[in-house]
Amino acid sequence: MKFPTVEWFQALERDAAENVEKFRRLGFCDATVGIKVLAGNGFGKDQGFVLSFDGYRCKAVEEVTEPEKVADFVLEGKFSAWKEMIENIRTNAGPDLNHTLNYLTLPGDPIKIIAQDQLKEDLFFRYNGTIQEFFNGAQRVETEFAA
Amino acid sequence: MTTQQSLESYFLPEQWQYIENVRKGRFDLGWLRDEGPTWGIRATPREPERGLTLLDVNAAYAGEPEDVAPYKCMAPRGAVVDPNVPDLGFVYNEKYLVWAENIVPLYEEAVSRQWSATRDIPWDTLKPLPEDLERAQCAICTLLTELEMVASDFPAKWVWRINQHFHEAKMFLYTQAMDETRHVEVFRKRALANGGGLMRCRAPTEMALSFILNAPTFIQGSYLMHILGEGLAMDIFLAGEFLGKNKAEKEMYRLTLQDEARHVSYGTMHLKYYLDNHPDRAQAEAELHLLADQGERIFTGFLANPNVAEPLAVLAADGVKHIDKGFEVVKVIWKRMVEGYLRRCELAGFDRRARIKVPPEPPY
Repeated sequence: MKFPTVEWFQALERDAAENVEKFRRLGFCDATVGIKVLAGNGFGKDQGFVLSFDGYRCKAVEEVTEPEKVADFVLEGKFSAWKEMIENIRTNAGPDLNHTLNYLTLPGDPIKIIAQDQLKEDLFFRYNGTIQEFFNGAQRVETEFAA
Repeated sequence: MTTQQSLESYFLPEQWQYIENVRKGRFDLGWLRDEGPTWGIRATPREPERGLTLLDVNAAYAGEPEDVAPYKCMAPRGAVVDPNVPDLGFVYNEKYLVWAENIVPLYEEAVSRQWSATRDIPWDTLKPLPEDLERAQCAICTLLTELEMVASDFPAKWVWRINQHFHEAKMFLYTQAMDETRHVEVFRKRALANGGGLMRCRAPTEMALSFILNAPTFIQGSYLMHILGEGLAMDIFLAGEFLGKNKAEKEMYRLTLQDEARHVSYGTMHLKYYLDNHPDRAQAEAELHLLADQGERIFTGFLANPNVAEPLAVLAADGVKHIDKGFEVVKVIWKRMVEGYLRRCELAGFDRRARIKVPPEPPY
């Protein structure tokens, strides 16, 4: 499965559905999460995605040009940052201490959180465990990188 | 006194009359004929996988509280109530004093995202740390144990004064009390689980906590607790996750962060609802600005406190040797804290940008 594509995120969505008991334990997550992969390091153009979390599941994945216009918050980083995070999750069967979403976003670099207001940005923190667990599913998704 | 007389003495005359009727097979059954209650309500889950939520129940019946509670008793909203119910002494009988537009989903979220400090932290991943790092983590955990107990006591202090008509606000505040209790538990456990211990509690910190706990009204306390205090705690939790030296610490800070962000979301939206619906908004804002002028000193009090800033810097620098480099992370936290606070105030319609008593740039 190639990253970043709708199919790759849908593979995570399926993985989460197969492990729904974990997500039940984590609780409701109601947020529209934007992902923005910025061009660079051989990756040709910016790409955006929107993941719709509803209850215990991610119910839809869409590719959109400007996720910041529709998502509650957007996680934006260069292709190389996303690639490193996914490879780290795959190598360690989960992120090591320096590759959790919190770790990567707190300084605003290499991934930053963009939201129209603080209440929406705070959704990232309210649902942090669920969103992290969703990306942890990458350890079970065969991944090729677009660059 | 006969046995019969002795038994009768336990009851009021009308109760005894009822018992005599029951003994003769004459049941009251008035409640079966009562035409007062609205009947035939059938709340159904919008989404079966979630179960039956308060949102579903509110959509079916009596979901929107009136601006002023019609009674001052424990009768649930929408029930039929006797005319002679007593006044139970609630102080907060108006919606704008306690409500937030996001209160119902926040309650459901709180209930569904509960966790256990005993079961859900991978305590077995704790490993001995060099003494400076262990002392740093224990200093932060000691501080957070202080902070989180006041955050548990705060809703407990106010919630019994809130009218039952606004049960969602009361129920959410009870979840906060439980969340914060769990935070006290998890930070105490961490301080005592890895060869360190509880560290020093500073008098200025206790003074700041007293300011929050003893606020004279709920809105003042809520602003100090939910927006200022918990906003600050959120960023310390974020930093804690960032600086965690093992999976136990990462998970501990991630889980506490989730809870704290929920409380901050209530506080932000409660402040907005309060101001939007206050009969004299200008006066309400002016009073809160005066409070904020004092309250914001909590920020500087914490980040200019060596028992807070230095442990964070030591964890960031992986030891005391390069503490100066660790202060770069403390600067990031300072900026996040101030900007997040200002953005929350802005969302609530309470603009502090021109008046804030904290420098936007860290002074180190």
